[in-house]
Amino acid sequence: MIMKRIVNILLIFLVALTGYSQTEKQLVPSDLKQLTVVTEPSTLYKGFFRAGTALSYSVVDKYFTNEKNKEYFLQSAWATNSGFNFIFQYGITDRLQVDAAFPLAINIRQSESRIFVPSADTTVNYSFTLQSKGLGDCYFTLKYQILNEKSNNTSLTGSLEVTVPTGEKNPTDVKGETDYNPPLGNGCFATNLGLKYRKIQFPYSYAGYLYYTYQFPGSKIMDPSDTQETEFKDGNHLDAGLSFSIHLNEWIALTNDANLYFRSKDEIDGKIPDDAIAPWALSYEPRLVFQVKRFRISEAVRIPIYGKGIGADPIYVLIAQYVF
Amino acid sequence: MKQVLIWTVIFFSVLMPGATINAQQEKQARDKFTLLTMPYNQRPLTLYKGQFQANAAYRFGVRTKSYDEHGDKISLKEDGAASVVHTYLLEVKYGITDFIEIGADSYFLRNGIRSETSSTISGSGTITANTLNEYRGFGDISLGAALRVPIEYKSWDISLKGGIILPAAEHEPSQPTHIITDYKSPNNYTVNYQFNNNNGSGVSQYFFSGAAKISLSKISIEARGAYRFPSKEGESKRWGWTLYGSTFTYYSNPYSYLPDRLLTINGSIHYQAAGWFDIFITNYYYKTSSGWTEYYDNKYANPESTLFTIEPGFELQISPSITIYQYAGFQIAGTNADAPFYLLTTLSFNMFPFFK
Repeated sequence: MIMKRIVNILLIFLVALTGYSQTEKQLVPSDLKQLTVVTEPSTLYKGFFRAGTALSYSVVDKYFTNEKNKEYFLQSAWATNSGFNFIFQYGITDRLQVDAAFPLAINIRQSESRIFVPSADTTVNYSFTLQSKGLGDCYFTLKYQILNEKSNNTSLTGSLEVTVPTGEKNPTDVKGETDYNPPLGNGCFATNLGLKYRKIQFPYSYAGYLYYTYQFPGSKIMDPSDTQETEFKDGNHLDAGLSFSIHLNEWIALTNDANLYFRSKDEIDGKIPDDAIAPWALSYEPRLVFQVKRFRISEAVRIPIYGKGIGADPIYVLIAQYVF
Repeated sequence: MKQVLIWTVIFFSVLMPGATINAQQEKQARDKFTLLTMPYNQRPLTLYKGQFQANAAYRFGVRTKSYDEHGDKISLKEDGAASVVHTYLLEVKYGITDFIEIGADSYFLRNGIRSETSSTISGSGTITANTLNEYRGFGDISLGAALRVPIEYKSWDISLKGGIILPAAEHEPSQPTHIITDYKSPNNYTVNYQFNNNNGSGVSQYFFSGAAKISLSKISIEARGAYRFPSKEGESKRWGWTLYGSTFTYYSNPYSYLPDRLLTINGSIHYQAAGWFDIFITNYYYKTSSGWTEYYDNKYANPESTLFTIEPGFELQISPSITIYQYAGFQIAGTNADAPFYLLTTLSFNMFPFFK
C-alpha cells in the first residue's frame, strides 16, 4: 500500500517534470523571420520571401600588375563603378531556395589629357567622358541543403546559378572612338556550380565554400570602331573562401570572409592572345550586419590584399533586406 | 544679541536639513558596466578614472573637387587630378582621474594624385608624360592631456586640452622613381614621373583646445575649438633629376619652411535616440595661416586655406566594450583647399584594466 503511494507520488513528479520540459521556447514564424546572419539556416524556410538591394561603389585607382605589385593607374583618368543589385529570394521548401538578381549599374569613366604640338605652337585639351547606365546581366540561383542544418547545426548546401546576358553587350550610341556608351553586360551565358559548408556554434558560425563558373562562348563588339562582332570566351573562374561570423550582441553580427578568386585565360576568336594572363586575387571582406526584427542592413568592404593582373581597389557595399 | 541668536538658530534650522539631504546623496557606486555603457548625453567630455579607450578608424576619401582662392569649386575630375585618400587612424586614451585624461594618436595615409597626362607631338615621334604624386606613410605622433571641470557630469561640461605633436614620421620626400616605358626612339616614349612624399611635418607642433557640452534630456550640443602652431622652422629637400637616354639621375636641394598654423572650430548637435544609439550632425571649419615655403632663397607665404564641412553620423554601442562611430563628410565651402568627400568608420574599444 505504501509502495503504491510512493509510486503514485513519483509519477505525479514525473508528470510535472514532463510539463516543465515542454515549456521550451517554440520558434514561431515571426521569430524565424528575425534570425540573424549567424543563426539563420543556409536556405530560407518554406514560404519565406526575402527582398533586398545591394548598393555598391568603387573607384578605379590601383591594380595588381602581372608581377603582383600594387600600382596606381598612371594615366589621368577617373572611373567609378556603382549600382544597385535587386535580389529576391524565396524558400520553396525548408531546404530548397531560389534567388533572382537584377543589377542596375552606373559606370563612369573620365579621361583628361593635353596634347602639345610645338611646330604649330598649339595645345589641345583632349578629354572625354564615357558613361553607361542600365540593366546588367541578371542571374538566377537554386540552392539546396544537401545536409540539413536542422539536425546538428551543420549544413552542406549545393548551388546552381545561371547568368543570363540581359545587359547590353555592345557599345551603343557610337559617335566616335571616345563618344559612346560602353556595354553593361558581358555578352555570354555563364553557369556556376558550388558547395558551401556551414557550422553554427552560437554565437559563432563558420563556413567554407567553393564555386566554379563556366563561361559559355559568345560574340560582341570589342572596340567601338569595330563593325562586326568578335567571338570570345571569357576564362572560367573559381571562387573559394572561408568565413567566420560572430554575434557582437543579440542583433549585430560581424562576418569575416577571406576569398580567393582565380580566372583562367580569355579566348578571342578561338585563340588565347599572347599577352593574356590568368588573373587572381586574394581578398578580405569584413561585414557588419544589423538585424532589426525582419529588417537587415549590412555594410561591407571588399579589400583586395594580393593578386595578379586584376584591380586592387576596395569595393564598398551597403545591403538592405526584408523578410516577408 | 537675542535676535542674533534667534536668527542663527533659524539659519541653521533651514541649512541643516539641506545639508542632511545633500549628505544622503551618496555618490553612486562605480559600476564598470554602467560607466562603459554610459550614453553620450550622460557622459563627460573626458574618460572616467581608470578607463582605457583604443580607437581604430578608417577614412575613405574621394578627392574629386577643390576650392580656389576665390572659393569657386574646381572639378579635379575635369583636371585629371582626382584621387582616392585612404587614412587609417589609431588613438589611445586613458583616464587618470575622472577629470584628467591623457592620450596619443597617429595615422597612416595613402594618396596617389595624378596630374593631367600631356603628350608632345613632333615630326619624329610623341613623348607622353604621366605624373603621380604619392603621399604614403605614417603621420606624426600627437600626445595630449585634457582636463575637465571637477564636478560630476549632470548636464554641462567644460574641458581644456593641450599637447605636442612629435615629428616622429619621415617628412623629407623619398627619391623619385621616374621610369621610361614604351621606348621606341629618343623622340618616342612615355615617361612616368613618380614623386614619393611622406606625411611627417618635420618639426614639433603644439596645440591647445577647449570644449563645452550641454545636455538637455536627449539633445546635446557640443562645441570645440583648437589651435595648432609650429615650434620652429623646418628643413626639407626637393628632388631634381636629369635624364640621359632612359636613365634618370637624381639630385636634391635643401629648402626651409614653416608649417601653417591651424585653427579648427566644430560644433555638433546630438540626439540620443536610444541608450545605445546617438545620431549627430557636426559642422567643421578650419583655417590655415602664417606658413611659408622657401623657393630659391626667397620665402613665399603659403596661401591661407579654409574649409567648411558638414558631418552627419551616428554612434552605436554594440557591447559594453565596443562602440562604432560612423560619419560622412560633405564639403560646403572653402578657399585654397581640397574638398574630398569621406566616410569615416571608427571601432572604439573601452575597458577598465585595473578596475574590478
